[in-house]
Amino acid sequence: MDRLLRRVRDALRGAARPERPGAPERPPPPSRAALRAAFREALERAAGRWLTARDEEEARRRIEAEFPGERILWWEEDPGERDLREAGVGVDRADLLVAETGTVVRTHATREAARLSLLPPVSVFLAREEDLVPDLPEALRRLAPRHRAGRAHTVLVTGPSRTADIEKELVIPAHGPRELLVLLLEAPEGGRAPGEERRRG
Amino acid sequence: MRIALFVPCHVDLLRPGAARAAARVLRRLGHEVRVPEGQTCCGQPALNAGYFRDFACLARRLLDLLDRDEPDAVVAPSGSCVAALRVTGPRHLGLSHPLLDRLYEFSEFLTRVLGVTDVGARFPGTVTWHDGCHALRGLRIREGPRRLLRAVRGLTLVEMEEPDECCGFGGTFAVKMPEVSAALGERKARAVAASGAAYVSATEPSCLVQIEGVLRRRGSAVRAVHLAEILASGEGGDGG
Amino acid sequence: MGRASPFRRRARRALGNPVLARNVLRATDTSLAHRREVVAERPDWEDLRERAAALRRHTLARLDRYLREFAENARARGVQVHAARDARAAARLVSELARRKGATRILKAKSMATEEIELNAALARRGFRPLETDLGEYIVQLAGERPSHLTAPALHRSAEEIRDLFLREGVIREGTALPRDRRALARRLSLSARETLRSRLLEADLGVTGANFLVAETGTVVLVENEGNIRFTTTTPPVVVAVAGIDKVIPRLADLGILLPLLTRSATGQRAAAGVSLLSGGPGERHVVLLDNGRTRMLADPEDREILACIRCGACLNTCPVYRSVGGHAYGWIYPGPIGALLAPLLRGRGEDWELPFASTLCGACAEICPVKIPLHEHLLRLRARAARAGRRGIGERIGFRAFRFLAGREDRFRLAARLARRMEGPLLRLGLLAAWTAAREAPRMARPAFHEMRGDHGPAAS
Repeated sequence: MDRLLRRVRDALRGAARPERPGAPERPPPPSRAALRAAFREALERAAGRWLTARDEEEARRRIEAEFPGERILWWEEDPGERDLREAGVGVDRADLLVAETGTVVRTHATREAARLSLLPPVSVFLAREEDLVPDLPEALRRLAPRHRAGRAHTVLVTGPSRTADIEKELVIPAHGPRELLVLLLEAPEGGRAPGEERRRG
Repeated sequence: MRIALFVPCHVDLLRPGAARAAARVLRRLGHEVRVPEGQTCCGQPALNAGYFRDFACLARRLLDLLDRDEPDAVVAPSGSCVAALRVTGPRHLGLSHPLLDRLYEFSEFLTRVLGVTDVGARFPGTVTWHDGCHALRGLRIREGPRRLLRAVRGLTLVEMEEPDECCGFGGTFAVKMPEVSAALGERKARAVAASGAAYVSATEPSCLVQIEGVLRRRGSAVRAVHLAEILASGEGGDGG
Repeated sequence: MGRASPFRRRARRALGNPVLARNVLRATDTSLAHRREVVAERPDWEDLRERAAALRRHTLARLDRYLREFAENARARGVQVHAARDARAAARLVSELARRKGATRILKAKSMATEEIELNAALARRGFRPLETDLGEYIVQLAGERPSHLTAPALHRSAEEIRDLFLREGVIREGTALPRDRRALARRLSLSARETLRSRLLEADLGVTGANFLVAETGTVVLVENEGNIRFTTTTPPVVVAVAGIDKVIPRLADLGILLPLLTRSATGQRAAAGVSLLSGGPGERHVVLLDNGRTRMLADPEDREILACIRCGACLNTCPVYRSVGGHAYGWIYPGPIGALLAPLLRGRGEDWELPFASTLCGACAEICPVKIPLHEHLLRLRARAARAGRRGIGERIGFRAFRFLAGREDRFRLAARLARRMEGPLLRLGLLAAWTAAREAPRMARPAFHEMRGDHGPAAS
């Protein structure tokens, strides 16, 4: 490593050192309703599905109703590899939703947790309204502290797995899930309810 | 304006009509056009083959010669020669010359310097436009020639598929890699034919040589004409 | 005419294969169409490109600092960081690791760096046969080929060819009913790979990946994919090694906000890839091999350094008229197209690689599309000059241009030569000595009179 660094240093001896460019100007944050609409549109364009529920209770009922007879794995079960292989549906929490691209962001603590949204043929992410961010730069801003602090394993998932390696024909699924759903737990009427702050705290 | 006409060697030897036509159009617009004597080659083939010193030598000679009478502008019916002198030369080998600021490709001179779009031409027929790469990406010429063509009486401009894809000439590339060059030319000729136009035009004579060569081999009736030849045609004209 | 050059021979073979010609053109057209659509959605596209170009310039000019930072931060997260001076050293590091771990089952994610170091061949010499998990890579691996595109390795293959390959290799059982329709067939074949590979993705001893980016501030390996195979490759085996060129380093996580959209929109025309993994350390044993293999040599030249800004999106291939006609294998190395025509001579530097800068019309479409604004065609021209200066173009060509300069240096000499050429044109054509031109095109005939011989109102004599 030291020898490599020395070669790099030698190569750059006397080189001009241009400055870092500034960050692009950020547009003003859109309203929550706009974020929701944008996320949903982008998700569906990426062949993902969109569901909503008032609370976690209803969310569970909805998922069970969507996939009757399937083995559904929930994130808090801390599933093992065997469970992961047998499950039909894996339900994970989302940390962030990126409205612009319909992307789900999730940071995992263990190897198995990382496979919950990979092995089962159907992947469901549960998210809250306050998890919505407008774009990738904002998502990265929120992710960065976790990665700066130490080990972290994050995936950014946009729609079900896919391939276009044969004649550019888009085929879903590839090796990952064939279906991807995002279920949003809706904030109470009015969006900016006081409960939101409480939930965060 | 006092204009010096830069007649690149390939125009002189292969497509003299383009130079004649360019001079005619400029004179018709009321400008004084001279053709400085002693012009040979700007050195572009050497430049593109990587022989920068041979290029620089010929380029300086030509620029001095064109600037001898200190014309207001030097105009050439070729985008690639102008781009070689004005864009590539300065960037790659620090070529500099007081004339470079007054050196223009024919269509850009009309539209950007003179601000002319209608030169009073008449050319009955359907024409499709090929964007020569050096004019397009080196000199940023895209809309100007199309505006000029649309203003020609009797002329219908139709776009081919991918008018900005290379015709495959590429200077020595055309003979060093003839099979690939021909494949590109074939694709261009197919696009020209599919456009339904009776004429294909460009501001680059060497593109026209390539496209015409393929079209004729295919037995196509489509004819290749230089932009200047179209703009020079009309009442009392002999171009086209 | 002497023996055709290696590029020309390979190009000729490609041009003689109508299936290949059709596939390459259709695939690149599709990618370009998708790209156009999603680029149009970003009114800030040009601004993004500018920033990305500036960011890459900045990073490369301080690569010493950022590389050290990456290594330190990766180590702090438990990653074992190795440096490899050349391809052989890198391949040895990985195969040594495989041997140490007794890795009989190796998963490989698509990676140009591992292609560059010919890792599969090195592993095979030690008795390992890694499984290429990306569908396109899997296809070329089965076919015993190398990838022909940076992001779509099997784009030169038709569905029918892949069907025959899959039948021959037992990916699909003989006698399976398969659709005739090309698109339905492509679908069926893609899905069959999922079924066939599934069990092998679930059990593995070692995972090998490349890296799209290495983030200095967090020691993160960034991997972009669509199929989910990279997520398997990085979570199934207990040991994972990423092989990455030192040029992959970026300063901060936030920089992905600029580079990722440029990469995915340019490469596949997607708004976002289906999966992006940000791996800052484990779970499990993690290694990173930092590959030099000629990169520090490029870094030392301020102009070559600019080429290291490439993020391997493949857009310059898709838009290059030459690549679109002959495909990737004609270039003779794993980096094809305009960027390959620069990287091959600069990184590998074999004699035949120095021909590649000449395998271009210098049309400039590549520079126009490049998301990090590398003026590729200008570099191609620059390398031509380097090749000419080094005498790589042969003494004949050098003398030829000197003679041309001599002739064109004075009008009388030039006119005489032109008249002679005009006189010779007919006989030469009749003798078929201009075949390089006339094999596929009619020859232009030299004008009589040439412009300078004209008289009258519009000839040179008029004023």
